[in-house]
Amino acid sequence: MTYALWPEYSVVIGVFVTMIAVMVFNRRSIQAYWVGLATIVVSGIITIADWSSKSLPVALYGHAVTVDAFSLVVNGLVLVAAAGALMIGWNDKRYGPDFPVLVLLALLGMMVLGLANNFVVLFIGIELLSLPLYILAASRGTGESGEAGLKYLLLGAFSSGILLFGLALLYGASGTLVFTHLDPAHMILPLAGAGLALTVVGLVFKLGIVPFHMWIPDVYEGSPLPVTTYMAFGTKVGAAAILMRFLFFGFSLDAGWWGPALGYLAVLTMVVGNLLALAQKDLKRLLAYSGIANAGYLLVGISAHNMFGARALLFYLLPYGLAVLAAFAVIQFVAGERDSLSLDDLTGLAYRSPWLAAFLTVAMLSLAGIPLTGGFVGKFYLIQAALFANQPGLAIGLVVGAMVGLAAYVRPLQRAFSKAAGESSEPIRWPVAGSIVLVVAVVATIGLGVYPAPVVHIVNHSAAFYWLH
Amino acid sequence: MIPLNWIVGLGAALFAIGAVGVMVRKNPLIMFMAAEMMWNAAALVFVAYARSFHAMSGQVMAFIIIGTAAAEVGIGLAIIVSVYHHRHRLDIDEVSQLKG
Amino acid sequence: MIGFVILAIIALGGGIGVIVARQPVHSALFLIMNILALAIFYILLSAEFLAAAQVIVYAGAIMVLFLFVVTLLTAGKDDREPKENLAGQRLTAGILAVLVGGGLAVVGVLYPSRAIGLGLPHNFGNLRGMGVTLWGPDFIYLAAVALMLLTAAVGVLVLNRPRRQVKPAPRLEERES
Repeated sequence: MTYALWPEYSVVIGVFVTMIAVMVFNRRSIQAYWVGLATIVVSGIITIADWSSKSLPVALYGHAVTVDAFSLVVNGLVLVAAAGALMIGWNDKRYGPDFPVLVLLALLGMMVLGLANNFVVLFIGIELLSLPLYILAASRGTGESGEAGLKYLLLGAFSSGILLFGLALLYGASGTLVFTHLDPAHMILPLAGAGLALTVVGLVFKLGIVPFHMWIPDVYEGSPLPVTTYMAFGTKVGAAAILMRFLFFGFSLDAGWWGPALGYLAVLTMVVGNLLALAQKDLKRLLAYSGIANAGYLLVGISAHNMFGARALLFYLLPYGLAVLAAFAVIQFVAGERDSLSLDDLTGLAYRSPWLAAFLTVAMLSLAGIPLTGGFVGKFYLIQAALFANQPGLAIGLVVGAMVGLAAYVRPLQRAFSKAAGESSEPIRWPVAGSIVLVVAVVATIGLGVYPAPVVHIVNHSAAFYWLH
Repeated sequence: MIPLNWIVGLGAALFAIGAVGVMVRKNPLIMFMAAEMMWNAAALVFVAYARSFHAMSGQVMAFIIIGTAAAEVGIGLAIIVSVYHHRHRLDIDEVSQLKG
Repeated sequence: MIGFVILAIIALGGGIGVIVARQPVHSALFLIMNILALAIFYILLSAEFLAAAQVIVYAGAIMVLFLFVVTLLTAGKDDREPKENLAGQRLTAGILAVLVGGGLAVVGVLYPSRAIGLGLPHNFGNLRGMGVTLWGPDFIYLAAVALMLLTAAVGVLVLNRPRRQVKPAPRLEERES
């Protein structure tokens, strides 16, 4: 008896229980949030139990899914993302009583992406992830929120179409749907090349790499804040995980087909994303461009194509996500009833609330990659992976991107520590759930920077996934 | 006997028409229909290859595509209707402040 | 072969009609034409079940929903698209898409997949064959589609629930006054 898929099953059960909770306690919907959080905790406990079980890796449903150390680490990351988003939006009347249900459904999609080993599961994971997020993006009911949802929907349907056609051509070239049964040596080459190109373009669209990034800032800006947090952390984890799994399982012997192309895209994304972040006046847009740049860093780990790359990518996702959680929690506190925050609104934050300013500083410095924060260690491992893969260009691009990014991240801090011109406004409220997320994220960011060894141990074990199948 | 490779060619042509529609038109309803056509083209290619390999897996994939499209259209039209209620005008560029 | 050419012309004509039609209603009708042509292709490709599903789900449910929304939102309105400033960019993207699609079509035609010469397996693509697959080894896919449809139902509830008029929060107003 193996409990391999029980993290996913428990989330499915949690979805139904949460829906029942919404129906039973209609208006006072706090119960649904508790059920959602309990589901995430239970799923996390089962994931940890799976980690120590001896029966992994295991392929289930005719090689449709593979549960291994990689998928369990992805599970852990997306569970953190879901818990963070749920608690930042904890019992907020603006997002309606169905917020936890949709968060859990999207969580399921992200978990499925971590263990896909088959075109059908890949597509199902992408759609299970996207459909709830379309709704969440539009759920606020204001004009901007609806536009964000509409834009996300149209671009999502378009990129899914590209992805599907690529998968169809790959199916024609190889005759199989299973990643590990793909054999590039015996494929019909032009078909396989076209299919691989379209599939990668479709996935890269979802990840938000530079020529295909134009939808991200508008969607992030218009969506409600907890949803933006969830997108910035969770969908990046899911998209990076499936891209890595698809390429490393299906085309690991032919890295020459995709490695260089992804390398150029990574450098372009890191530089352009950080440059555009410099010009932003809205904090959510700034973080959106930061998310684009960070997707470029993630792509370095994939295009390095070795075990160091896999390890660096898995490690980097954690400090990136924690910094995103902390930054968005601060925005949520300062913005209060509003849904966005310009850089000018930050002016004098250090005098209104020194703690918030300090936490924001930690998050921004981690995104910029300053030593003693998790972001620095993550970037260090990425540079190491690029150098071990004999691709110094990637490392140089990463350093240049990080330098430009530093300037972009310092700007909000400069505002926060400058003296406010006029009257001091009302004190900032600290919602309990959001404060927990903020404190945990900040402490973990610093902890990762000072003592990363335990996490490194876990991702080392996990990154060995693709030698073992 | 129908030529399977020509059906794949037809699928590619429909895919291209759909992609052009998404990029060139601005009415969200038409863009959405064009995206549905891209999905349909992919499903057609899956079925054609399934016939060529004598394997059901491609048909299963096409079935999943049809089912997912149903869910996606339900959500998409709900979003379009709710946006329309706010703006009373449907135009992807007019409603969004593209700031680069 | 003649049948193929006629059907292909119907499918392509429907497809082009979708993207050049002025009114969304006409687009929707052209898309139905395209979908029905594809359903006949599915029968020719021995995918009887999918042909039925295509007609029932796509033409019967999805497109009726589309037509309903189109008539609800745009009936009696002049829906001409205004002139725009992004025309050049869109045109470039369109030309690029045509080139890529043309390339894909050439690749698809010139490089056929490895066909199997033997006769079709028993129950290939009919109701029994699909049922045995979808309710047997591939059941999780069916369950996942069920979850997606559930998501859609929740989404329609969330997006169209009655809400109060959106206005600045009362606390802010008090502070300003």
